[in-house]
Amino acid sequence: MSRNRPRQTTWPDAARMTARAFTTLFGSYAAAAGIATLLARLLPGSRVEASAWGMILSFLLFAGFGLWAFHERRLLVVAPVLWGAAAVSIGTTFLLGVRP
Amino acid sequence: MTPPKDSPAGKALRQSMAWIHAWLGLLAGWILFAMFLTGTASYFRPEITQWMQPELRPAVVPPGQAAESAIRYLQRTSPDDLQWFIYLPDDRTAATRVFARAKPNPDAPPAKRRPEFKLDPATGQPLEARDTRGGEHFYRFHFQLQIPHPWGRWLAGVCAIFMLAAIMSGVITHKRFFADFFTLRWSKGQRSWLDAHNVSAVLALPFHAMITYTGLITLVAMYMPWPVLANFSKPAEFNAQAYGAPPEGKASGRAAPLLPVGPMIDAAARTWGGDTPRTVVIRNPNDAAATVTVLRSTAGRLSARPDSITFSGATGERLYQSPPSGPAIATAGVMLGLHLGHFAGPVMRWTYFLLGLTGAAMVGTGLVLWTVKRRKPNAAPFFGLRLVERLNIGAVACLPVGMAAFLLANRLIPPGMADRAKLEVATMFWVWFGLAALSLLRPARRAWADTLALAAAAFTAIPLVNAMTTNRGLVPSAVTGDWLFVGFDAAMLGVAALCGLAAWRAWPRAAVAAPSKPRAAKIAQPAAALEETHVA
Amino acid sequence: MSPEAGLISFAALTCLAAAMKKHRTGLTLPAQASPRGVRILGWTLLALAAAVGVRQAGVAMGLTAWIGQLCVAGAILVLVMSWRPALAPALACLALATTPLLAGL
Repeated sequence: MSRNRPRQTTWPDAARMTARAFTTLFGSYAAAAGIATLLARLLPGSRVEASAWGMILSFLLFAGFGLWAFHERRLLVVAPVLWGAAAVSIGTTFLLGVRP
Repeated sequence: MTPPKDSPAGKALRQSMAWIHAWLGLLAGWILFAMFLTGTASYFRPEITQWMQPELRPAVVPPGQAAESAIRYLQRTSPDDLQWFIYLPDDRTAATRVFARAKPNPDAPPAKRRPEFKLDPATGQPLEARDTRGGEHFYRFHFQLQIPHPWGRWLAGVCAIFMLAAIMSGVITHKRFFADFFTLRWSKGQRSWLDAHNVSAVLALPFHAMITYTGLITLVAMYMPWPVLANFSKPAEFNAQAYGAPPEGKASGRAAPLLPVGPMIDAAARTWGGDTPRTVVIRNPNDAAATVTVLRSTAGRLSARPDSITFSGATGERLYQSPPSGPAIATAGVMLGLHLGHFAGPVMRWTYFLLGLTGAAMVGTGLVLWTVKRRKPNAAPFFGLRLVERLNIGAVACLPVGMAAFLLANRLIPPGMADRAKLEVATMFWVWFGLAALSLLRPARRAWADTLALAAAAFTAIPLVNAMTTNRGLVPSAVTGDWLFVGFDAAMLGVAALCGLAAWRAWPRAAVAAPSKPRAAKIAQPAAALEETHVA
Repeated sequence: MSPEAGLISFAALTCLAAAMKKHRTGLTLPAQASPRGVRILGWTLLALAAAVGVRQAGVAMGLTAWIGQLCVAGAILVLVMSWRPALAPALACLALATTPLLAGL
């Protein structure tokens, strides 16, 4: 459509696209889940409410990250940001442990 | 939505969003179309089930009386069970549904789950009717896709998140969101398909966004359990705190007669400001530790979280009441309620139904638009284009025939036949996929028209076959004021008319109809059937 | 829940469409109706529809019903305008006329 579709897709193109699709689907999910979970862990108030807010907001994050992952043309920016956000948020949640 | 003069960044954003919108929509489109269509039918789940068991016409009685009659039956047949689940009738389900669980016997292997059965609410006698999945089949299919657990639900979830991202990117892409608000031009090729896609998407955007997001929320515990795991070492605690946990005590071993549940139901209704109960769960009946849990009906309330009250079955004492929910749990409950639409009365139910059809129309027109945009006037279609076109026919035109076949099978398979419920379901898939395969034999253009015409014929056949095989045809039903059956048959004729209109528009015509442009013949193909997706 | 909110919304959307240059020619209107006038009328009717919904069913249920019926009214209006534009204003008047009748029942 808007991007020129080359008549012949080369192997590096295909590999890049696969990596991007993989990052988008799983990286966005990991980042959204990680951030929503950290949010749920950190929100003050009752555990039930905090968990529910995290779950409710998670899909908005997922869809937003997913779209951004295809908007940003540099895969070398997309992958580190998404996987990095996932790693940091999930790591922090693990360090914090289950809410007492 | 976007400023009239585009900044380069805005333009780049719109381009990337347009690109991703097209691919998201394409990859998930076929499944989304099926989810929309069967989900839309599911707004009439109890009505479809009633229609599919035409031999049942139980009398309507108050919920308390239905509960008492069901308990009388259970006391006669299985007084020593662990639990009785009694689903009370309401203005949409005429029969009492009962499910009983036996006490586990430590010496024997676990017994097979007993089937649910139906009782006459007035007499408490079992109702004999043809075995069928009823409206439950469409409902289950729309989020399980007839794929083994849990993969169907995961696939549905992936499609739903694609849909959510497609909605967001679609809004960003749409150049003239408000200027084209009411614009629908027919017989103008690609332009028409774009108009139809825009209009069906934009006008019902609140519904599409709501139904997609709340759909994800219905299965959030499966898709996104992590926030709970970060806060609870035992996730069951979350459920208990969020939704309440009626006590699940052990039997004491001392016999005590079960008190009548009528007064308990009345007491619960008073607590709920007159709302009726939907379900009564009796644990350890005829034991001193017996409990009676009454669940509140969600009809007439936005939130789909059923409140519950538990009474002692031996003393009538109120033992437990589900806690009031906080803002987040209430929000989730309302989201669930908005998706399920149980709160809706007849007008809102039909509103939901029509909105669901616009959703199917949006997905269907989007799928067709993908092919129309890529078709080059003087070149043979490339493989991908032909593949997408065939899959479009298979999803958009063949699924309605499959759904009609499911309903026809209900009337044509003999009532007493073994495994007939499974056979009905199998009929839908054989017809759907078989027809999709068969349509490969025809040129694409003809395949659209033929299949849509077949859909029109199949939906027309439903009221006819109903009239021939039961005594509840359109005319007798109208005479006796049986509006459910009248409405069902009328709706089938309405759907048939839509399919017929679509087939008529898609019908290949000689070039006479086209103006003298040489490209017109190519363009005319898609220009045709706009409403074929409204059929949907 | 009854369909009044949707009927009024249909009339409201017809007015809003009539206020747009693009659709104005197709919808036959009284000569003295100015685009600005029908636009104001459209928004007023839209607010009225919301108020009727809320009045009938409370805030939560009323607004839900209003939005849902508004969407359906929009879809029907677009189909009517694409098929017989001149029919839309007549239907809008009819919708408005039936509203008090329904409410009276």
